[in-house]
Amino acid sequence: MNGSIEPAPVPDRNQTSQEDPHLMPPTPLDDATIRELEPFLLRLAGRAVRDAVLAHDIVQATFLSLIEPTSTYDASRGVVRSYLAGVLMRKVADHYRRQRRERVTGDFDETADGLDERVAFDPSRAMHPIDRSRAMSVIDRALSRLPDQQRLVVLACDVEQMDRAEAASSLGITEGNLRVLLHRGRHELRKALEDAKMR
Amino acid sequence: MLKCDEVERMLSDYEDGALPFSKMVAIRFHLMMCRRCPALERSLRETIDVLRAMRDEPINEGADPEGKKGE
Repeated sequence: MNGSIEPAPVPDRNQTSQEDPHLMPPTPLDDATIRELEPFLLRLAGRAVRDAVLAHDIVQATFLSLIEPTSTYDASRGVVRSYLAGVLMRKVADHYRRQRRERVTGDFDETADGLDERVAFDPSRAMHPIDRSRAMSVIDRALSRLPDQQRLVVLACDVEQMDRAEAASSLGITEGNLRVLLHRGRHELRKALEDAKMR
Repeated sequence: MLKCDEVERMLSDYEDGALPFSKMVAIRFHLMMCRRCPALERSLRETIDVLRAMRDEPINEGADPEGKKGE
């Protein structure tokens, strides 16, 4: 012992990071979470933007949002899947806003007056039942043809089943605007489904 | 009693239960009395059911990959 020099302890990165919240804040973003949620987020992003590369970028940015200092994720307020779905929809909406700066469209400017549009429907037309997988296929195709904001609202409210306030907040629109877009989007999809039954 | 076009405008909100109670009741009453609107309501409900079932389904390979609007 005499004269020997004890080496300084090598800091254990994992241990230190767990103990010191300033170095590595607690985050639900671990490998298991990514593996579990990535397919779901890729599906949601893929349906929202219809571009595999862009969807991948958006999903990566969505995961990264969890470890950003500005992250508002609070484990006590909900599951990480719902939080990430909201973040993803916000990023998709931002993407379309950036696009719209270049080509101006009026999707976000729609008002409740839009509900006055009549949707043609004739129950007397002969219809043939179609199975669920074909109905999904028809609606998925019709969904991809909806205007961007209608598609995002339908994805948020019906596919992802967010409540309206949460969806409107994620997409950066008012609940009144969301209501109009949802009404229009659903009726377009309904028409596509009914048309498929005629064939 | 509500008119058909009024019911049609509110059906999406009706399906989500996002209307005041009095409107929900008025629409339900209209749906019991009307010949045309119940089919529309079933059709819209079916559409929403299909969308909800799509949550964990893979993306349809036949869907428009460019996300083009109905051009």
